[in-house]
Amino acid sequence: MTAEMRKKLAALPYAEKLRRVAELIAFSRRFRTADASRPLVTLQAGTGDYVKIRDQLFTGETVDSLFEQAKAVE
Amino acid sequence: MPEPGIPLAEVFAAANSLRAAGIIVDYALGGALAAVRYTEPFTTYDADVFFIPADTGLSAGIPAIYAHLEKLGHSFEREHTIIRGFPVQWLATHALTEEAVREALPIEFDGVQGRIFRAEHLIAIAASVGRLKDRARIEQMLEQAELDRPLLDAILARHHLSLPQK
Repeated sequence: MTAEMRKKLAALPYAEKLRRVAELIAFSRRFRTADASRPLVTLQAGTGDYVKIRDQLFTGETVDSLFEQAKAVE
Repeated sequence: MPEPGIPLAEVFAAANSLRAAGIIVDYALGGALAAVRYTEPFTTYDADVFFIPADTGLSAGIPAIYAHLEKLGHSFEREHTIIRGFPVQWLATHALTEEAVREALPIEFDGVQGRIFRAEHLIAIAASVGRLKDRARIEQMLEQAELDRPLLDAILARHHLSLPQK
C-alpha cells in the first residue's frame, strides 16, 4: 500500500476506522484459531495396534517402577 | 455473545460514571485505540484509559474503580475490565500522561461525550516508552497525522524527550 493510500485511510471518520479495527481483530482471531488448529490438522493417524504395543511395553510395570527406571536413565 | 465492534461509547460512559462519582478526577483515551483516531486503522486488542486519580495513595484508587465498574455490570479478566466483550485497561497517570489527560480533546462517540489524547501527546508518550512498536507508532503518526509541530516540540522539550532517529 502506498503512503498516499495510507493517508487516505487515516483521513476516514473515526467511527469508520474503529469499524475496520473491529474487522481486523475478528480476522486476526480467526487466523489465530486456524493457526492453533494447524498441529491437529497435520497430526497423522498412525498404524498398528497401540493397545497391543502398550501391553508389550508396560506389562508388569507400575508408576513407581517406571519412575525408578526414568531416574536411572537421568 | 457481545455485539461486534469497539464499544467506545460504553467505555466513555463507564469513565464518565467514575468521574461523576468522584473516583477519578478526569480521564482520556490513550494508546493504540486513540492513535487510530489520527492514523490508518490497525489491530489492537484493548483500550487504554488514562485517569488522574482522586485517591493519590499507592493504589491510585484502583480498588474503588473496580468496585464501581462491577456495580455497572462489567466483568474483569486479569488487569482488564471487560466492557461488552472488549478489554479495557485503566492506567493511573504520571507527569506526561497527566498533562496528556488535562489537555485531551473532547470527542463524541455514538452520542456519548468522551476525551481522547492529542496526537502530539501520543507521540511524546511513545517516545518516552521507546519499545519497537512505539517507534513504529511514532513513524506512522509523523507520516499520517495532522500535527501541531510547535506543540509537539514544546511537549518533547518540556519532558526531556526526543524523537528516535530514522
